[in-house]
Amino acid sequence: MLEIRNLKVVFETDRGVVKAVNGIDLTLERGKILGLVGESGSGKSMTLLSILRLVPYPGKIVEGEILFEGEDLLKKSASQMREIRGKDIAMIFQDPMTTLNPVFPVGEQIRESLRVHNIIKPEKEGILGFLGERDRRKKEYEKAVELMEKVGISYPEKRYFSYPHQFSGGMQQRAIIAIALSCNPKLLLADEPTTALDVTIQAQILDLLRQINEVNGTSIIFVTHDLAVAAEFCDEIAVMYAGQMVEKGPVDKVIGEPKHPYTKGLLKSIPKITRKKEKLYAIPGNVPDLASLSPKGCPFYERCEEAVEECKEVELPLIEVSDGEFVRCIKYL
Amino acid sequence: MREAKVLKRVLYTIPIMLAIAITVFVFMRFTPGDPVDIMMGKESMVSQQDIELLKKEFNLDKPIYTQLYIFLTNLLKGDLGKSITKGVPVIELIRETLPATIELALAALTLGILIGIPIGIISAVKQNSWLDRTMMAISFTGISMPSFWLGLILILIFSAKLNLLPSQGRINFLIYIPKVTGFYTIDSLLAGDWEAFVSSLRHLFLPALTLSAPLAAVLARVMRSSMLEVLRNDYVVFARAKGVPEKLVILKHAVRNALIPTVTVLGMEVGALLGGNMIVENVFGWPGIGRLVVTAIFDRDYPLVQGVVMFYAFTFVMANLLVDILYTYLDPKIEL
Ligand SMILES: Nc1ncnc2c1ncn2[C@@H]1O[C@H](COP(=O)(O)OP(=O)(O)O)[C@@H](O)[C@H]1O
Ligand code: SF4
Ligand SMILES: [Mg+2]
Repeated sequence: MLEIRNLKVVFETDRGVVKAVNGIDLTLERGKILGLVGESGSGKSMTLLSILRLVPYPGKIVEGEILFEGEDLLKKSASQMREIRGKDIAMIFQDPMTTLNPVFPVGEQIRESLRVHNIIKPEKEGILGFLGERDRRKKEYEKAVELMEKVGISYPEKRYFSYPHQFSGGMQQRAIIAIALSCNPKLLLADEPTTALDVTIQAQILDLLRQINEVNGTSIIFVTHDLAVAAEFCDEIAVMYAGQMVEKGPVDKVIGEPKHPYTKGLLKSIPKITRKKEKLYAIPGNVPDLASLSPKGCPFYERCEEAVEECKEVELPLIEVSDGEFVRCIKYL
Repeated sequence: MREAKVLKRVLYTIPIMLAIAITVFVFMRFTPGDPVDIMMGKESMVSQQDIELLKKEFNLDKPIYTQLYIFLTNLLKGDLGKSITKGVPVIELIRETLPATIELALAALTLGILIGIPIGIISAVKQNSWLDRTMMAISFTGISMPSFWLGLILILIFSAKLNLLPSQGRINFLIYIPKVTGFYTIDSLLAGDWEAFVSSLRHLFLPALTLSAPLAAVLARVMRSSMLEVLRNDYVVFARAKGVPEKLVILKHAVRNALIPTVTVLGMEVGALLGGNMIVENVFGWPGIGRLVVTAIFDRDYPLVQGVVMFYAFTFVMANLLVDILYTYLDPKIEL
């Protein structure tokens, strides 16, 4: 249902051109959950925002195709794109505390989604539309309350009129999910939806998302920097590093037999529940500065424990190592 | 709950008003020359006896602290005293001139908001475009240009050169309209006198524009910067991701938030509006309290100056209270 080909997003900054997304290829099948994993700054959010064509200024999409149900989103007009947003493709954000508009009641923000996509049709079209307005509002209100109930907000009739600051973070994320679900989207983009929440709430939100996937058949791209969460939640995993895809494949392959040294490092740094106090492993070094990254060679070279001299020079493609499993590393060339 | 808080805020204003009363009293007494000298300078036939009588009537023969005491106790009773030069109660003079001032101030406030806020929004949305740069340059000029200067320039262009608009007074002096509200624009409409209405609007335009210029300029700048701030927020991106049309993203989601800091500034600018009103009324011969007080200062008409200043202070305090109340409606997180 979604196929991204050679997507490139750049930011022109004072310090040079930052290739935030540098030639990403992705495919997602209907009803599947794809995990997009990588450290902060690897280009996960920009990949998601590209799908909705909402990359923030001064960033822009400079190359690639984003085929959604066979049509290239990058070729759509602004108004076509507007209709797709929220209706066919919905997105939820990392920080629920800043995602809802603070000056409008939560329920009204859900109702707004129903309104902008005309989910409840007006009784009369055109200039006589206002005649059925009361009725239409009431139906929208009822639908919004139903959505709130569905995502697990108790006393929805009362909470409908609450303002975002009167909700806890978890409740806000539920309300945001209600907004995302309001038009029954085919694809849900979830950008680290649990990162800002504490662990028990995290699990509840993940359950809710899984339920949406199973009941509505909504495909999900689930972005996280936490490989453990991705392992548990996703059908496929794609690992990003410095704007590139370094490994992707079915979850059991990527987690069970990781190939890329970066994926191995990420797996090793997941804390295990053991009795012994182990020192937590961390990948040495830091995420490279994208503005000064050398265009040649493997971007992971500086931090790689398995690096060889040639890594500095090679131009690496994604190499298919088994059916549906791809790696970008010299050792599999 | 809200009422109790409003009442508390009103009570808080009492010590502020008291301090203002004392300050204006002291400042007037320290200004060289007294009302009697000035009256004597104006009129030729004044006997020593008249002077004594006058001094007695206005308590000017008593020590300063007694005068202050009398002023404050009368003030608490709501009595602003009598004008020395006009011999009429101050409150009467204020009542007579106030409609003119309010009409001008409201017109300026409306113009300021109608000009300033849209400019701020457009500038922010078109950040760094030539349009943005031009409008911000104009608003910078608007902030730094003194009112009397702008007023004179407008008179020069629109009255003297182009002969398009009148420069003095509230209405064509040949027109008579029955007084109902004291607002000429409204009274002329009530009287069904179209010609009077047009004349009063034409008279209102230049002084209102002059008075509104600094307000519009400040509002434009504040609105622009708070819009830029707001537009960076997640909830704006989220609104777009929901499929909200861009026009609504700006005019509903962003503007509604950007108005919050702008309204605070609006409250503070009411003070500037009151200050500007004295200058503008004098430049445009507008018979309001601004002109009343300036004349009173020249005449050292103590009670009149004190009374009008107290009135200004009261208006300022009330305007700020009003803004605070408005604020609680705009920002659900704020309580009074
Ligand atoms: N406003 C910006 N200006 C310049 N560079 C940016 C900006 N926003 C993002 N980037 C670049 O894009 C890269 C990817 O960002 P992002 O997609 O948000 O990463 P992730 O979501 O994986 O943490 C960042 O490393 C940064 O270099
Ligand atoms: S190409 Fe070389 S540096 Fe890059 S991940 Fe593979 S081994 Fe490490
Ligand atoms: Mg991110």
